[in-house]
Amino acid sequence: MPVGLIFMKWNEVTGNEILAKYPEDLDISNRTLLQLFHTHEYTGERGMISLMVGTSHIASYYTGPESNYCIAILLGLGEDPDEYEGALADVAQIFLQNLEDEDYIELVPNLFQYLIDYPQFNKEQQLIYLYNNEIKRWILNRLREEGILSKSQLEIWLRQTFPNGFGDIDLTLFEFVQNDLIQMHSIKNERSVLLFLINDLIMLRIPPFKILNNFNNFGLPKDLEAIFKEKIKLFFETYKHSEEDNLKIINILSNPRVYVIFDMLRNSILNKSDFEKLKNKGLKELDNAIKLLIDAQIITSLKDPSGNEYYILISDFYVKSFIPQYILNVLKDNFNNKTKSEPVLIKYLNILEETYKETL
Amino acid sequence: MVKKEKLIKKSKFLKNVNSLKNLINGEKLMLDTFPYSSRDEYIVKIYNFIIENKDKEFSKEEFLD
Repeated sequence: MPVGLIFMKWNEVTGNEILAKYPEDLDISNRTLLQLFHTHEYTGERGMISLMVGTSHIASYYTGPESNYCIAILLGLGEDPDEYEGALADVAQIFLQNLEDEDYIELVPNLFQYLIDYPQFNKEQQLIYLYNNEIKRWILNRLREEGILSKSQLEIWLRQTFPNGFGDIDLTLFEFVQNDLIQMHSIKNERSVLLFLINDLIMLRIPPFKILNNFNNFGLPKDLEAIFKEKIKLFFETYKHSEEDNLKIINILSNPRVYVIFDMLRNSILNKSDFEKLKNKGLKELDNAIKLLIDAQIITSLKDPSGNEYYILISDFYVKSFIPQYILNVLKDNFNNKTKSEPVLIKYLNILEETYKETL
Repeated sequence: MVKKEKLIKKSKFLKNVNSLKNLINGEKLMLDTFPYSSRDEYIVKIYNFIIENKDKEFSKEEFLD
């Protein structure tokens, strides 16, 4: 588990200036901070490094000599800094977006909690978290339209579209690469690195099949089964897949405390006393999580004739990456309209071929 | 678990990738258009596939018709 988070700026006159740290009583020597900056300076450019200090690691992101900010995570004994790369990219991005009026100060406790939660995120949570970010969602939508984007052009668009700042282009794209959504390549005669969409994301509600198919194993009264199935039937008769609905759900599920309840209910039906036990085991924000899930029509509560209340999933959420087959028609139009050069189109097709040939 | 391979028919996709490469390299394209003219069309296809393959007790029609 991380033991600390520090935001710093290098000042040519005064040296290290700590802008914020968490926990507030975090003890770190000036010598260590100097060592950190010098390691970044040695590389001479923005980016991530990890540093061994005593028996622990520090994972750190440096914004480069122009702005001289450094965002560092102090890790516990024996922890692997590679596990925190994605989280560091996100935290650094949020810090850079909230420099004005020192807005980042208020965010520090939540960012630290995010660092603690991050290594436990599964693939599904990583995708949910990525899509819950407005800037990343904007990029993905642009890639869905075009398939190929110039990195430098994208940076210009982002500055125009998000005038309050989007942070750093490499940090923004980090999780796209980590989650195999894009590949980045340089091509001869192209002035900028190009981004190629290799996987798209799909998110939609689906019926809770595991519960439906195993309902009898939960020992609930038969009457409840009929009511439950009727509820699901009614819901999915009128369900229309929409971006608005997806955003509502991912906004809820990006909270790890809510996600853990949701995921638990994919394989079980819980009653009040089950929840009390979970509360006693230290599960946080339980009542709030249940309320959010009920309001979003992800779970429902049912009462048996004795008045016992059960919480059941009525709508599962399907989140996966998929091959953007539709992009071939986009590329064909690009070729016919000559909006992309032939070498670029061929490169993209080669990338798709290489990516999917391996998994045949 | 839905088998991705089954759903997307990768070999067909790769064949289409190759056809498009041939077109760019100056050969005649046999197809006017590739499958899935839009992302939405593909999502509907995926949704139907999930329903068909995961649901053992309810038919697609019961949920969607």
